[in-house]
Amino acid sequence: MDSPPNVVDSSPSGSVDREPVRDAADTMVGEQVVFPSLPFLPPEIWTMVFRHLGPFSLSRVRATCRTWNRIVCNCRALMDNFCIQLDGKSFVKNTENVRALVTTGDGGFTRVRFHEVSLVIPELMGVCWAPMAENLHTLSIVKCRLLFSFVVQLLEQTRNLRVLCFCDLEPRKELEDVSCSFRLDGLRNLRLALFGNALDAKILRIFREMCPRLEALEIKPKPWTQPSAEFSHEVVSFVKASRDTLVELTINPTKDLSEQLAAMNGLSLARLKLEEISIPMRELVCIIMAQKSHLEYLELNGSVGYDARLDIPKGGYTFPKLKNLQLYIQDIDLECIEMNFLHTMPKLEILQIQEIDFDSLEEELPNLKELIIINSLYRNSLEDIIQWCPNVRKVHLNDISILYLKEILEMVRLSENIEELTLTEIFQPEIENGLYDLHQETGDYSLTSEDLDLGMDTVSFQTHSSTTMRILDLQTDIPCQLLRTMVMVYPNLAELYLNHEPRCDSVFFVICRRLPQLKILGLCHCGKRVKSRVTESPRPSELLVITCQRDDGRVVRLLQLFAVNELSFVPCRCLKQDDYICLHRKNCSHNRCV
Amino acid sequence: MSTIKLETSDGVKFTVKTQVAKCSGTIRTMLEDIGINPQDGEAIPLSNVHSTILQKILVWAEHHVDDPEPPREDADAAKRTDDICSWDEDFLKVDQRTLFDVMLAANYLDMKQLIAVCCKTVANMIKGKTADQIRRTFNIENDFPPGEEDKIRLRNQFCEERSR
Repeated sequence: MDSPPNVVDSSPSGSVDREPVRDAADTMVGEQVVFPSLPFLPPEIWTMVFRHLGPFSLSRVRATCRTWNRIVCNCRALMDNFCIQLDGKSFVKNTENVRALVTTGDGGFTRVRFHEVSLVIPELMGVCWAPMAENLHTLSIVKCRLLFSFVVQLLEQTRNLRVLCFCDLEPRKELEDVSCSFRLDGLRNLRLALFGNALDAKILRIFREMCPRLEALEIKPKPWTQPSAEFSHEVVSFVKASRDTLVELTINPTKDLSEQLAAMNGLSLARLKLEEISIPMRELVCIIMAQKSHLEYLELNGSVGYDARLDIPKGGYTFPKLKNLQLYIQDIDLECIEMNFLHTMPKLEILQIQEIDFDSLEEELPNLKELIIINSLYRNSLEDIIQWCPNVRKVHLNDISILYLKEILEMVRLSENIEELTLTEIFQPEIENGLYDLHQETGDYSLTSEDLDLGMDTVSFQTHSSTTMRILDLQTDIPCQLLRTMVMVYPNLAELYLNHEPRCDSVFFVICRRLPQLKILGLCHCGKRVKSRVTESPRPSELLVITCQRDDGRVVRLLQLFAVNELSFVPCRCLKQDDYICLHRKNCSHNRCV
Repeated sequence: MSTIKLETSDGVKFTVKTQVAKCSGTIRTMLEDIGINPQDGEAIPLSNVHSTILQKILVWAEHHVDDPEPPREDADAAKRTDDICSWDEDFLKVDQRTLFDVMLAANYLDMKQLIAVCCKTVANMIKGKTADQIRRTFNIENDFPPGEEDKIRLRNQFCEERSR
């Protein structure tokens, strides 16, 4: 075949400023270059390839050659995978590097987080951070204890900013004379955590003038402190000034605040989060009811006192767009939660609630896909879930007794729709009467089902199997035998997350032999590498094992030991600090990797 | 069944079912918008595609001609590279030159599903490798001036993973 046309050169290069391919050859004086220095695909196709990579692989792509580095740098969507984190320590250790990074801006980074760098920023102001600031669309300044005039100077150069987070919970004693002559017209999302005193009210006013086109606004005073009257007044003014564009609001409501927001004309919020609630419920209801025809997302979070009632008015209205309702109200008189208000939300898909009393429902919730019950302990309503939420796909139960495990399996089997089950904080009554301690002394942590008398011996593949279950997430300690049982009844699991490395070898045996579809095995106890933070999928025929044990020898050894022939595992890759191990099955097509 | 003729860059003519040819957005546009009339018996010129590659692409199109329109993928779904069907996996077990030629042709012909599956395949060739291993896989020259690579590595150490 004739050599193909050099498509790299003939293709439109778009915004990508390519290095001439010849450059590399020129540096190799007198040597014949057999291969072109870059595979002959145009930058836009490489960009499409790189979109399938997470931050780990992308940083390696960047270190491969200049052209690829440029391709990644010049694509915002790819650079969004990275966030530069600058804290005091990294600055002291790498002063020169940080300064070079910030003052040249040629890393192409779009997201920066300053964390506890009170010394750094004033020093940066001495140099110039405009080259980097120009590229930024997301900036977080957390606990930096800066003069506010420095913050304003910093922001003056970040003209393309879309998201700003400023978290400064120390009380300010004085505020310099700050004038702000510029606007961040592109800023859409502003999150502020302030102490809440009178000086912070002035800061709010400055931000109000600086950010005229906000779509999302979050203002949090320090929790459990009473913000000053000036501060609350400024919050109202801020919302009022932004109401034409604002669709998302997060505040800690005070009585005045919620009344004034409820009375505000022209405010239409799709997303409302009320946090650290500490006022009577009826004061809250007015602001919720004022937004009822716009809301798609509503979150209530806090404590309303023991005598509180969820006094949502009865009848004659709906929340026509509400899809996601997150309720977590501590100390509310649980008997008083009437579930009937759920019928005013016909589109509801995701519900988080402390506990649910299906008896007070009148009809089923047909659109509900995801159900999170925070306090599953008191009412045994597991079998009712399927009856009242027939199409639920994800169930998350928190704080549930291990004695209900069989009922949970029964619920999954009955549903035929549940794909994902998460159990957190499983409560084991035996821990209290000393049985657990006894087993710890003998080194055998696995309670048997007989010990617990759960009737689990009647659970079997035939009676409790579910082929729809794809994801099982057990963020809780659970005796090995119960774990084995749960794994065995879900043969199609693709992802299994545990917050510990099972001590019994037999669990690995079951994982190897009974879960041929498994793609991700999470065994992380540090909480950093949980489900939501897996940023790269494994390759076909590959099992991604996530562990935070430095010495992962046991896991690999056991998986290799138990895997049947065609499912043999070979250690394949090891990324960042031994957190990930990837094993691939023999005969897979990816045996190129070392 | 209606057919149309396609002519490749090396002058080879292919007679293809119209339905299969329409897997290509480029050909679909030519037929529907520009109004090229296939009944004339005149071949549509594909001046950027070699016959060996078109042959291969037509095999793929024939196999996927009845695929339903894929749902719009969100940003997270786009990152999955483990969902390549086994037929495609076998189909793309070719040398790198051919794979890249298929990608170029698929890009020219505007065949989104084929490009996507090729991109995933190439992404899987990158995943899990060090920069040096990546260079060896794709025969890439390390063209960084001395010290530059280290600088990039150092910068990346300030990066933290983006949490969703």
